[in-house]
Amino acid sequence: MVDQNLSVPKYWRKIPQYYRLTAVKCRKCGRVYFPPRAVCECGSREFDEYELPRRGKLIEYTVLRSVTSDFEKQRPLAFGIADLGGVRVFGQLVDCPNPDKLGEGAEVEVVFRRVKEDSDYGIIYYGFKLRPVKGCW
Amino acid sequence: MAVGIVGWGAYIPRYRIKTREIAEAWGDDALRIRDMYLVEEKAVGYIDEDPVTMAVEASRDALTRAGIAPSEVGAVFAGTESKPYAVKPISSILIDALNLKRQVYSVDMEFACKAGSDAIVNLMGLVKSGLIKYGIAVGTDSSQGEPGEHLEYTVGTGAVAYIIGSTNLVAEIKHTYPFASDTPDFWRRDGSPYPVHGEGFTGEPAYFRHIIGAAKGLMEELGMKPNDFDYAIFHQPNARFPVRVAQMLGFPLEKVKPGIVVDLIGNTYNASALLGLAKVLEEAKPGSRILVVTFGSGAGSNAFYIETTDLLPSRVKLARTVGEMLEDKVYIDYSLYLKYRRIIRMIHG
Amino acid sequence: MHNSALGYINGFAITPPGRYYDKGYRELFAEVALKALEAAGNPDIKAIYVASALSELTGEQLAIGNVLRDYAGLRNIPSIRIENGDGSGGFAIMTALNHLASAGNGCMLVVGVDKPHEVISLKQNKYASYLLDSDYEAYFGATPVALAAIMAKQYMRSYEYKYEDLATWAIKMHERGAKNPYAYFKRAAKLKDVLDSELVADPLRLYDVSPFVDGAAALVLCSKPNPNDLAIGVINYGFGASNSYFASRNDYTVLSSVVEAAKAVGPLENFNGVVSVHDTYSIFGVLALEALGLCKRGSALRLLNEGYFDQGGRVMVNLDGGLKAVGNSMGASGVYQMAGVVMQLRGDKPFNGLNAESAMVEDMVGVDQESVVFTLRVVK
Repeated sequence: MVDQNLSVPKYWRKIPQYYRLTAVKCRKCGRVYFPPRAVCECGSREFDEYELPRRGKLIEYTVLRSVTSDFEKQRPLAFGIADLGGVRVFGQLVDCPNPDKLGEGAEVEVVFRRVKEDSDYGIIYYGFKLRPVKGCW
Repeated sequence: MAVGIVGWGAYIPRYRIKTREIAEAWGDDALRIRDMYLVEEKAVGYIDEDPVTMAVEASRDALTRAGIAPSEVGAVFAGTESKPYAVKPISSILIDALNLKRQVYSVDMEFACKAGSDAIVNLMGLVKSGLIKYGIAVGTDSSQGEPGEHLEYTVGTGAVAYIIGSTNLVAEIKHTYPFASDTPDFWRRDGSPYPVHGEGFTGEPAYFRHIIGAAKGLMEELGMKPNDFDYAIFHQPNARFPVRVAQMLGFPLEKVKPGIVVDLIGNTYNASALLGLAKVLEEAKPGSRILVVTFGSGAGSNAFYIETTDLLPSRVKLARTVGEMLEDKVYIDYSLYLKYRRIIRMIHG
Repeated sequence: MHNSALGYINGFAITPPGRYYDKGYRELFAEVALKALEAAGNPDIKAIYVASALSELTGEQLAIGNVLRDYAGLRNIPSIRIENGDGSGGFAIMTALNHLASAGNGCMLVVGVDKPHEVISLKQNKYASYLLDSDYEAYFGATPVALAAIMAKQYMRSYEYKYEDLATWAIKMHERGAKNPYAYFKRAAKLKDVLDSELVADPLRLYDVSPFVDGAAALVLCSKPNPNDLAIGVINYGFGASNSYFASRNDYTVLSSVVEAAKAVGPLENFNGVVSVHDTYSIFGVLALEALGLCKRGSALRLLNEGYFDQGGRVMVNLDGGLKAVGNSMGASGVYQMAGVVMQLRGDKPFNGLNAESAMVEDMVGVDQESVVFTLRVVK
C-alpha cells in the first residue's frame, strides 16, 4: 500500500477556496468573508458565493526559513497578506527573490500553484498564491 | 459557419537560465551550443509550477480576452506530454480552477508536442457540429531534459490557451490539414523520467517531412502560395529548425521571425508554435493571413490557415501579453535550476 | 478578599525543562504529580486535569489519562485531558477552578506535560503549524513564527523601533534564565549573539523564538489553603478570543485575545507585582504587556529597554526568564508559568527577597487565538 499522508477529502472540499478564492457575501449587510463563515457579524446566516478579485495590494510579508516537514524542499517560503478588494488574504508570496525591494502597497496578482504533494505517489495539493506583478528584483 | 479563435492567453514563467550557464556546468562549448540551437536562454518554472498551474494561468487570460462567461464553455481539452499525474486529468482541474460548469466535455490529449493543436481541431469540430458554443484548447508543458544531455539546452516551460468558437472571432481558422506517420524520432517510455531522441533522425524524416507535408498539403488544397501569407509559424524545438523549414517552403525570414519565441524561452513543446501564434496575434493587423504548422514526435503535424478579424487589436491588452512575459524575467544559476525543476533526486517532497 | 479566591495553590512541582530522551509522558507526569501532591499534604483529589498539546502527535497516545494515572498509582480519580494548543495549561487551570467552584470543596490535580523532542525539528514545526487555521494557513506552509514575524514588522514600523530594541527581550530573558535553576537556557546573551543568530522569519531571529522543550509541571488546586503553608490564591481569571484567521484581524500590532481577557479580569493599570507573559516569541512578550494594560500601546519596548519591567520595579515581568529561557513545553507551558509565579510569591530560590504579594499570568493559544489571564495573591 502506498502510504497516504495527506487527506484527499480535506483538500477536495476546499477546492473553491483554494483554486478561486471563493468567499461568501452576506445577503443582508454585504460583508464579505474569506475564509467563509456560517454566521455573519450582523447575525444573518444567508450568504452568496463571491469570488475575490485576483489583483490587490500587498500589506505585509515575511520570509520563513524554518519550515515544516511538508515544505522542506521548498524553503525558504515567503508569505504575504494582501488586500483583495477590501478583504485581507494570507498566502505564499512567489516569484519574488528579493521581496525587500518591494515598495509599500506593491501590486500582487493571485496565481494558481502547487502547494505540496504526498511523496512521489500521493495527491498533489494545488492552491492560490500571491505574486508581485513587478518590482522585487 | 466560420469557426476560429475568440480569445487567447499565454503563460511563461518568470525564471530564466542562460544556455551558457548549463554549458559551463557540463564543460560544453557554449558558443557551439548556441550555434547549434540558436537558443540564448530558456524559461524555467518555479518549484511549484507544472503543466496544470500554467494551463490555469493561460486559460484564465484566454477567458478574459474572449470576454465570455466560464459557464458558456462546453469543452476543455488539454494537450501535454508532461502530465504531473500519469492517470488523473489536467482538464478536470481546469474545470474547477476556471469555474466551468459540470456539463463540459473534458479530456487530456497526448501526441508529443502536437496534442495542443489537436485540441483546437477537435473543438472546431464540436463547435461546427453545434455540440458546444465555446471550447478551451490548452497546450502546456514543462517537459524533461536529462541533465547533461542535449535536450537540457532547449527544453523550456510554458503554456497557451485558445477559446474556440464561432462568434466574436479575433481570427478565423479557415482550413486545417494533418500529416502523420509512425516515425520514432523521440519518445518517453512509460515510467521513464526523461525522453530519448534520435539526434539527427529528429530532423529530415521527422520534423521536416511532416511539417512540409502538412504545409504543402494545406496550400495545395487551398491553391495558396507562401506569398499569400503574412506570417508563417512553425513548431520550434530550436530556432534553427523553423527558419530552415521556412526556407525549404519558400517563406522569407521576416514572415517567420515574429512567431519565433524559442530563442528566449526554449522549446515549450505543446505550447511552442501556439505561443508563437499568440505573439503574432499581439502585433498582427486585421485581415492578416497566418500559416501555423505544429509538429509532434512520433510523428505528425497539423497545418492551420488563420485570418485575423477587426476585433483582434482591441483584445490584445486585456491580459498579459507574450511580449511582456518575454521581458519579465529573473535569471537563475544551474543549482537553482536543478532545485526549481526538482531534478535533484529527493527521497521525498 | 481572604475568602474570595477561586482556589488555592497548595502544592506544585516542575521538572527542569530539557530533552528527555530517557523519559516518556508517563515518567514526566508521575515525577511532578507525586511531588506536587506530597507538597500539598497528599489531599484527596477529585479530578486530574492533564494539559497536553502533543500527546497523540508525538506520544502516539490518545486517552492518555488512564496510562498516566496507572503509572503514578493514582486510583479511581477521573482524568480529563485538556488540549488547547500551547495554551492548554492555562485552560486546564481555568477548567479545574470551575470544577472546584461547582464542587464547593476539595482539590484538583492539574498536570501539564508535553514532549516535543520525541520527533525531529521539521515535525515539531509541522505540529506547531497545527496551532494555526489548518485549512487556510497551515495548508500553505505557515507556522506561528511566520505570523509573529508579520506582527513584529508591523509593530516596529508603526512605533519606529529598531530590531536592536526588540533584541532586548531575548537579552533580558537570557539574563534571568542564567540565574534560574529551572531554566533551559542558563547562559546570558549579548546583543551580538542575538544579532548574529540565524533568521527564522524576518525580522525574528533564533533568539526571538522560545525553544521547544520536554517538560512537566503540576499544581494542586484546593478550595481551602493549606494551614501549614503560605496561602496563595487564584483571585480571578478572564478569557478572551480573537479572529481565527490571522489576515482578517486588520491590526497586526495588538493581541486582541489578551486585551479581552485582561478586560474580563478587571482593571490592571494599577497592578503591582510579578507578571508572567507567554512569550513564545519575543514580540508576543512585548505585545502582551500592552494588551494587559500595563503600559500604553507602542510603549512596551521603550519601557522594557528603560528597565521598567525589571526586578525591583512596580511590575516585574518574567523573572524566571519566560518561555524564552525556561523553554516552550507547549501544553505544559501555562502550568510552568503558574508554578513560576507561585515560586516568586513564596520567595523560593532564586526569587528570595522579592516580597511580591500579587501576580499575574497570561497564557495564550497560538498566535492570539484565545487567551486566559489569571491574577494571584498571597492571602493573609
